[in-house]
Amino acid sequence: MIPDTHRHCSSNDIRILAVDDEPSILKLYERIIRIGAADGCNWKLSLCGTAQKALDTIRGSIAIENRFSLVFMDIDLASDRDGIWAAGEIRRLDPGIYIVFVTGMSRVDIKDISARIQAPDQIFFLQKPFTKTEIWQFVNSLGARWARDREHTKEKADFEGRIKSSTVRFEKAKSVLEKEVRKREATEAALKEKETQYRSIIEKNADAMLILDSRGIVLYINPAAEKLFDRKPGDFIGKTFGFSIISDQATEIEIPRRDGSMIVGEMRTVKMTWYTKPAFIVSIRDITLRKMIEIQLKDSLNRYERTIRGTIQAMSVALEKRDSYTSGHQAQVARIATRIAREMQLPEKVIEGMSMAAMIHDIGKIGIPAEILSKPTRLTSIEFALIKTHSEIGYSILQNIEAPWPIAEIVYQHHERIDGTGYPQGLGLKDICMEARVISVADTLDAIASHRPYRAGLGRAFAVSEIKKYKGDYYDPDIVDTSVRLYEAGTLFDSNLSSPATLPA
Amino acid sequence: MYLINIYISTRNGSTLERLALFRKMLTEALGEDNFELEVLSVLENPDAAISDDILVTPTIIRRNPAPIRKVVGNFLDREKLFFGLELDDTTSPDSKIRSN
Repeated sequence: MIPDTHRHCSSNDIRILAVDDEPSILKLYERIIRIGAADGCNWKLSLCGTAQKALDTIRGSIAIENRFSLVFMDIDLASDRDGIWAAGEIRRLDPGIYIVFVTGMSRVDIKDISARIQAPDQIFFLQKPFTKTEIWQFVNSLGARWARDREHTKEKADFEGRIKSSTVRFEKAKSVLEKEVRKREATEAALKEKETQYRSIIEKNADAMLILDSRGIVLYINPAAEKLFDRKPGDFIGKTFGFSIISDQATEIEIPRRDGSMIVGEMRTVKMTWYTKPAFIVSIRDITLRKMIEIQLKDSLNRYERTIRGTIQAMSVALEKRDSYTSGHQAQVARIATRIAREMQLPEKVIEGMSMAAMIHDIGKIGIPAEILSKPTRLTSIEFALIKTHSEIGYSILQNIEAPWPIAEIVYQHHERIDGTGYPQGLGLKDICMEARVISVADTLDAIASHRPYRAGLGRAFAVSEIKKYKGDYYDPDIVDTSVRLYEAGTLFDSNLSSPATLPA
Repeated sequence: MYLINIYISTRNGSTLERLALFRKMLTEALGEDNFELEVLSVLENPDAAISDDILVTPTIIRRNPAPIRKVVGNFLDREKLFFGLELDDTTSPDSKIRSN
């Protein structure tokens, strides 16, 4: 029986190797261990008589991962190499194994042996003859230590594994972070580089430029702005310029200067980033000179138009002095045509040109003998052919006058008919300009309604019925319809037929 | 009650015409009794212009209620002006939803 003090043997398997060259000793080991195993301990004993066999057994246990916990090693092995050598080899093969040297020698140099074998804290000595209690104590105690060592080694390995795995994860995270940091640094550097370029462009720009923060406070002004505003940066920086309206179109502004003068500017605002913060860039272009030139040009154009108007009026009067029957006709046609055009909502510039052309649409008659123009009887075909040349003569008179309206063309086309039966070119609807189409209707209306050298006036109602009759053939249907509408409203003709030959308003 | 100042340069025909449109726009959007508009010429009121940091004209200032809001440029762009001055356009659908 195992003594009570040793009964609590480890629940783990304890594999024991006993090495001795004396079979009787090996048998003794066997007996002692068998008693222990019979008492409920999981002890398993292997026996070897030589050092070489012992090494082979250890190798075999390592190969199948079923290692020995401790070895009882006879120091003085007579058969081959001694136990100290064998123990040294075993330690090399299995560093965790406990070694108990067993010897019958009375004097053993423990210090020397311990120095020759690694891990001296795992080496013990037992004097022969040994008792079963000593064997059980060693087996129980060293078996438990071996199991604990194994557990520690496993825990250490697990812990190291976890540390290694965490380290790998941390290394990966660190690498990702470093990459991100490098990327951000590169982006920031690129941004700063870009902003430096911006600043350089802004500094050298000829337009005045102000950088505002998101609240409209001035952060920076360029040298052109200092010059335009006639102020130092200190007068601007930190002051509230104001929320500048962003628009596709430039805004016209005025800049009061210290000397009391005023500059006209064209302001544009765009969003941007300024040193990584949202900002606005306001650019102002000095357009004072351009505005002055525009005003002067407008004045010149007005004067030019007045001159043309005066010239046309003079030409109209000149013709009417020569041909009394034309007297008042051109002005009347101009007024009727203007009313039709206004009713049709034609553009004001078109109406203006059409009115001018109407005032001198018969100017070509200046080239027709006065006797033919005032002949009281019906015209012969030759005389009529001669009369028909007045459109071309008019065109040749007017074609070199540079007017803001196509007066010469309108005069040239005022006897064209939309079905192509008119003269001189026989143009169709699409080729006759709108102004000429309106004048053609107004001319017919006044010619029929008024007195002619060869007949009395046929009346306004008859004139209107005539244009209705040829609507769509000679005359543009829209113009005829408009004329009829105006006639029915009583606003087509003058209330007084003998209105003076002046340009309509 | 909104107190709105507008700084202009000169009171010429075109400016007066635009100011009339501006007043009409404010009346339509805010209601006649809900705002007071003061037109200031920088030439006639140089000290006020300096005190208000007027760098360009037109500059529109919402003086009341605080905080002050300032807009420069086209004062007839209703939507953007009201956004910049933080004015509550009573005619906008959003405003009606809020007042409900």
